[in-house]
Amino acid sequence: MVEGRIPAVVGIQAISFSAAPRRGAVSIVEIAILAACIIATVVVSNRYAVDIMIRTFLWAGLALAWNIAGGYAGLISFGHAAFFGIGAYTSTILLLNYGVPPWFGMLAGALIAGCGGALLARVCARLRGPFFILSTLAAGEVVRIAALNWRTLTGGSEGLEIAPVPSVVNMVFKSQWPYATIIVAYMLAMFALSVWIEQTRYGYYLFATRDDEDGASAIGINPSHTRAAAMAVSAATAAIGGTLFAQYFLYLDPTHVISPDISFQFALICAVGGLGTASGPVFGALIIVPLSELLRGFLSQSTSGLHLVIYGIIVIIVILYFPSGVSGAISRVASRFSLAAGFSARVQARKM
Amino acid sequence: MSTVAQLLVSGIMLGGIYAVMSIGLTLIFGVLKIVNFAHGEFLMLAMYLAWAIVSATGITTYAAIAVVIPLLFGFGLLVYLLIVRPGIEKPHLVVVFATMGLSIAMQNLALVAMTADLRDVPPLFGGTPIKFGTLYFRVELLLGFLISIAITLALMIFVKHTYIGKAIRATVQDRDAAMLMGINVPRLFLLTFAGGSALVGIAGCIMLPLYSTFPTVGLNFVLIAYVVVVLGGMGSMEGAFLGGICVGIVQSLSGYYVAPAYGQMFYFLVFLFVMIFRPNGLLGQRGAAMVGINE
Amino acid sequence: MLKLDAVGRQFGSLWAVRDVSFTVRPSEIVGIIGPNGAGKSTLFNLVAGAVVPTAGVIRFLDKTIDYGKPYQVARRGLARTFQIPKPFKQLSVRENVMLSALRRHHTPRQANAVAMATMEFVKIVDLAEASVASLTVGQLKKLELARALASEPALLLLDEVMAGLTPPEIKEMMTVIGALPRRGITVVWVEHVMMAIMSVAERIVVMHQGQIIAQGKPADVSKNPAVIGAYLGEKYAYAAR
Repeated sequence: MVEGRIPAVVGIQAISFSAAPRRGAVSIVEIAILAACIIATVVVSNRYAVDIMIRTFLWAGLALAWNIAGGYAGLISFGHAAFFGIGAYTSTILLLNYGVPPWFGMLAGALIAGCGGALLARVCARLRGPFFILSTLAAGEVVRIAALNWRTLTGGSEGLEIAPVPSVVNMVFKSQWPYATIIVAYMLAMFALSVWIEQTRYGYYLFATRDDEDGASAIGINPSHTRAAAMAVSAATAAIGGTLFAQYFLYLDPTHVISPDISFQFALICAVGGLGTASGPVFGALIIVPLSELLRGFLSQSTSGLHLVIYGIIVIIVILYFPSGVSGAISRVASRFSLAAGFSARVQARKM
Repeated sequence: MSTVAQLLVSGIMLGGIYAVMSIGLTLIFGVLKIVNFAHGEFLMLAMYLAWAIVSATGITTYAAIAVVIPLLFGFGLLVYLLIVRPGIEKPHLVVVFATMGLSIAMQNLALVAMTADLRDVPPLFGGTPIKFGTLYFRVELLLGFLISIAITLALMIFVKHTYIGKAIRATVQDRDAAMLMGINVPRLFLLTFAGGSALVGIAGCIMLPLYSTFPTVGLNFVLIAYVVVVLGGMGSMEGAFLGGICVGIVQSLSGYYVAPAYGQMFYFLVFLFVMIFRPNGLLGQRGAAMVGINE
Repeated sequence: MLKLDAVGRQFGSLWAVRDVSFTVRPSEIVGIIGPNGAGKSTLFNLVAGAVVPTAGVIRFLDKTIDYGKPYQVARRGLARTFQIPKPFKQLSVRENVMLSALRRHHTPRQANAVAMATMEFVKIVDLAEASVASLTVGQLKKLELARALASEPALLLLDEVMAGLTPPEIKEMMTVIGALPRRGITVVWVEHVMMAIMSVAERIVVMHQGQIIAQGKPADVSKNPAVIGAYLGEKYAYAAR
């Protein structure tokens, strides 16, 4: 075995497939899991189960959005809930005050959030590591407090409510199924976007900027430009998720929507699932969301909070002992079993 | 006019207290170059411990300091060995996430063990404020401030004149060079983390009379602590003190003149402002914020 | 191709580089030598666009370089190697080279082809899928070179590319560098390994204490008393005269 060889990769036109999860290629494992998600959306009918699925897919999509900045570009943001909130609030305000359908409001929210993301990247351009992280946290808090106090616009702590009147134009549905479809589509779109980024020039520029800014600069990459773009895309896509959130839950308030807890959740899902990979956030969401539900259900009322204790401990263990997350673990297991051997007789140079 | 004076003075005193809370953090941040997201929960733990001791024995929180210091030192030691050390040589976000997990676990452990009820201790001297000319302050505030001055001075002397103090300063400036000079950096990390936690213990004791404690009390203060640390410059004792005073004054004034709710936003804006224009803080080292940490 | 005009750079009160003027013609190999502290690295960084000159003008392909932003110069056709190789650790060898190629060829497929060709030229093609961490010093240096070449530069800046190589590796590198002008690449090369640079470079510029003390063919320069004096001390300069 040549040292450092990766599992067999076969290129098919524009998309590259491989046996195990790796950057830049869609693996069988991932396809299987995504297919399972789609099938589940169609097949499962239990209200409670579908609700969990919807939330899982939504979190997966949001985590994928965060991953573009945090995983690919190395810009760990703990204020991302602000972009999520901007998306949710923009489309909702436009709907409630001006009757703009959320399908369009979504785009407006994405635009505003995108600009916000670029601005944040510019403002924090010279900051690295913990300083950057803390600044994003502070920025997120500023947005939250602003939203909390700007009563006339956001309804303050009372929040905003969307009337549960079913209407396709207004993206309000009576049954869960349309919601599930839209949200699973969101997750798939985000996954596709991530894979696309990994396979194009732009993705490579992100990885380079993340790894070594000076080296990247020396080969003609403009690091601040690249960072700002990554942040903008990440923010805009998170905002779209925000709109979907608003349309499903029909209620928004700053404390629950623009909170650091939510920002942390995006980051944690990616960390547990595998930072900087397309499937990582998906795996992470699939594990964490149902797990929290399960724990919350199991442990009785009087010990409320215990499930979060376990959750916290799980996070600690995963991040210390499985730093490349679930995705990384699967990769290692798969290459150990040399799925490569069965998949193709020789290692082929990628046809890309 | 005397309103301004009152606000300024209480702001300064509050600032001193914020400084104590942050001085441990600036040490940890400066020496280990890690972000401890559970810092607020260490404070919460200290406050609960102080409350427990006071309720059980009737001594004042200030006396309880003697017990809380070793307890928090030990706790810091444990956390360092189990959670921080495994993550030190890895990318910094490992420690970030690990301490985040710790923070969540601790908050909820407190929730389960102590419920969400606020806990406080009876005020000293029945709650009558001390009068100084036209200015009034609570005894606890004054005491806390005096303690904070004492601690800052003690630490400044310690850092300047003892071997460990010099080792700390060296490691803050350049970890690799310090190692090459024969400083046992891993042991220093351990001591600093545990010692920083012990300092938080002191903060918890002096803050308990002023703020009730509840499971998520840490969240309120952790961000303030980071603002103070950043303002004052990583690793600087005097910086933490000055930073604390600044934040205290900003909060006091803005809480009165602007709506109290917006008051909170103010120190985040201060933080961002400092990050953009003087990322090394008022007294920190040039370039500290730009240098890749842990790369 | 490259023209320096009375270029200088000051750090505090020290002129690291002072009143340096020379021209580099297309497809030339120009070597820059000089004892330590001569200002070679500063000069290198000035040309690479990483440092802004405090005096004088640097012109690359008739446009001035003075913004301190390396990527702008890189985009115009300048490539550099790093003395201590800085590959992207999370990417494989091939991906590292491909990244540079992406500058000119926008799709990964084309860039990959260029990368493979470049790796063949530099003779590391069998390491394509290896991880960066597993490379030896010699291989890392070759990777640095491959990365620089993959962007198809007009001007290549080499920073002590021979440092740390074994004699066979040095010979191999010399052949590769010598072949570059035939591919239309101009080379400006800072080096300490005299044997290599004196045999391959067509023209040598000697620096000492921030200034140029001699320029010319390797054979002439090596006999120049001022040069000998700079390296070995004044006594030997007398001997040379």
